[in-house]
Amino acid sequence: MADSIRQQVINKIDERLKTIQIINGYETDAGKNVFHYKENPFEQLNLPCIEYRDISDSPEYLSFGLFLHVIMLEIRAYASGVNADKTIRKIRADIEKAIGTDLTWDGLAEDTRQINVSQDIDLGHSEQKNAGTLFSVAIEYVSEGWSPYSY
Amino acid sequence: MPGDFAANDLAVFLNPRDLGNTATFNNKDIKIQFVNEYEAITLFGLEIENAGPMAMAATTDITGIKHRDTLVIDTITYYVIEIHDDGTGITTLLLSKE
Repeated sequence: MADSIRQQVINKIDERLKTIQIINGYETDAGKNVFHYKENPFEQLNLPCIEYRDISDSPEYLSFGLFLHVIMLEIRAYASGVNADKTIRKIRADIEKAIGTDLTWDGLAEDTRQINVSQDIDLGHSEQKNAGTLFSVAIEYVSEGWSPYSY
Repeated sequence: MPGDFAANDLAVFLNPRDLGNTATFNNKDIKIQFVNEYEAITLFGLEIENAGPMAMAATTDITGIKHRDTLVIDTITYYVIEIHDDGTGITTLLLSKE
């Protein structure tokens, strides 16, 4: 069965985030633990990690029967350790670099924009020290009206 | 009354032969009550598994203790990250491995 355009974009995002590894020229190995809509708590052993979710896909009429869709993507990442804050900044930079390698996701999208959030890094400290970051992105793609499988 | 508790009952909770544990603080063994229960950290709406180790000690045994001082409990070094003196003769220390 064919994937919708939205699903194809998500597949590309998953592939891209998983490339975030030192062996691929990034500063962290956060891409070794990538989750989509993780429903239960993260294990300390799985940190650093990245979690992403496509929270909405809003279509807007463009012209000639075409619609501009905007996928709102939230990417979270988490790290642990004494230097968790420094690590999370590196992961954040790695995510930005990875997305920036191709803003069209192999031609599926028209553009990808970073959305500002009021807070993008936070820390928590109990037995372990943890840091997290939130990265918000809008991905725009075009489809025919009521036709999620075709451009 | 708090004074009575501190004078008569506190020792049972802290004595390693009863309910307590031993910790090393400033190269000295002190009696504590150690608790280490599950406690998730929530960041950006998602949870990370964690624990909230804490030690309760007679306030007089840890005079001058401050953040980042260490307690060694069962060979594990913990750093003090919070100090709660409740005024009854007991001080609760929130601990971290980092």
